[in-house]
Amino acid sequence: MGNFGLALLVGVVAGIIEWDIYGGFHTMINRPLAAGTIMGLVLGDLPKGLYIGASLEFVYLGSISVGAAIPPDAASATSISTALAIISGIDKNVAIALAIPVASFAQMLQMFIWTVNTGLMHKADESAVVGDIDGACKWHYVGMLLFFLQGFVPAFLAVLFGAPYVAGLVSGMPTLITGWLTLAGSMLPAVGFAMLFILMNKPKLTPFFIIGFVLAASFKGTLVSTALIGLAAALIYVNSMEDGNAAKHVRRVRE
Amino acid sequence: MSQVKKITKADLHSAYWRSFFDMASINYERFQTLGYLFSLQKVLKKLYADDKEGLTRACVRHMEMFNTMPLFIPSILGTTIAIEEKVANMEDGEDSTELEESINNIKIGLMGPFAGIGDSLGWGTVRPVLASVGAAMALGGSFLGPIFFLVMWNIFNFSFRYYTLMYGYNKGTSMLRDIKSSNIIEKISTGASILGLMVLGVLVASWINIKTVLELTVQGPDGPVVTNLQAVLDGIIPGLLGLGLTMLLVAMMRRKWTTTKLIGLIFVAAFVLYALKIAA
Repeated sequence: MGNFGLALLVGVVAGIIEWDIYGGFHTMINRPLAAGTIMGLVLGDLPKGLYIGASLEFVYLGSISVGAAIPPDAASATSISTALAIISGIDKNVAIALAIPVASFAQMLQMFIWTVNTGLMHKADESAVVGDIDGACKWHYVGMLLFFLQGFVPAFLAVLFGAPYVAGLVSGMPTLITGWLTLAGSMLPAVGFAMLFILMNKPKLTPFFIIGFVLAASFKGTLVSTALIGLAAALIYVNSMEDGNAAKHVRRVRE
Repeated sequence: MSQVKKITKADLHSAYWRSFFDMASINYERFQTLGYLFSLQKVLKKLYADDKEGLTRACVRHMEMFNTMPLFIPSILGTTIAIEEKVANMEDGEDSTELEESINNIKIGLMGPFAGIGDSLGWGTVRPVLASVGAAMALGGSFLGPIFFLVMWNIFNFSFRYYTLMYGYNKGTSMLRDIKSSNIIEKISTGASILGLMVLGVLVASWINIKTVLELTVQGPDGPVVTNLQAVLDGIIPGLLGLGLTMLLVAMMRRKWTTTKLIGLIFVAAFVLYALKIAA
């Protein structure tokens, strides 16, 4: 397969993965864990795809869209960095670091599409006021196409023009650089964990975080066993909560 | 009046399948609005097949701003369909204004609480728990990790949407009232947060792989004694540096540092720590 064919293949796969976020179905093939594995399968290096995807999953575990905030685009970043890592033979830990700027760049593309889609709304309004529901809804398909392209175009270009260049760039990389990027990659999951902590923690609930940490750090509790203890703790806590009093909480959730 | 317009299972199924595409035209002005109308397209066309004026009013009211957590859209669609069905079946000359206004009031009343509960349940608990179990399996070399994650998530994704849509349709107008009078929202989001925080504790302890290589040399009576700092820290509790880093980031995020800046800072810090041989 020539480089053009390869770029096309990677682009289409990346486009489908990206489409899953906003375009449709939310099957989570867009998450790094799945996206890296799929790209690894397609390009014939499953272990590398699995490793990069799983590592990036931890980095972007807490990267979530709350309200109108768009998080860094982990899907696009995983597709592109996994593809380049396999095609150009980049070290897997360097590929993880490479994904970070790609995710921020792709995030800006998403912001751009959110802005363009505002125009779709105004087009749909024109049909809605005369009761033409089919006319209004057809603009919805344009958004679907845009989000496919948002995954396709950068991946296609990255492989077509970037792959040979990247290969030359990383071949003689000194250990100072690879060691630095590996260390950075192992620190990065803390950012996602911090975001999850802020999302879920209330002062009253902090003890559960401490219990989870100590169970794993000192008593070698596995993820699944600790999750089951967490489930039990949640049920005990919730069962002891009183009914009613919901209005107060609704206000708090909105804040 | 004309014949009764009845919503069938097939109509509800069309809204169900269409709800998966709700985010496709997401935008900064009205978010998921057009996706919501898209989900109702078949239902509204059926209900207002011979009532152009009614269809126009329906289109216009569903073009008002709407945004919530995607997994909770089907339940709101269910209640909307139930009320639209009532509106479409009103006798000629009967005043439907109040009922029509209630549609948007209920949408707005539900989208706020559902966004809050959805974020902590879906994005804060179910997905990270499944994804971190899958990713841990994958880093252990097993390709079953991603398969586990995708299968479990999608059982949740497809069934939760289906049952909440049916629930919303059967409850109709009373869903908002039921939710406001009980504290089911608070219970679910508190329970989800407890489970999520517990798992987060494990993740912080296990998956931030930072170790110091510093060694302290002290002159003892029998020559120099070398103490490995990491061994001392592990003696207090393993994973202390990861915990410290996470809490530092939490404090900085609360002081309005953006994640982009923090990630940049981590690259700088990693370079300094590595170059000065403090950490590896």
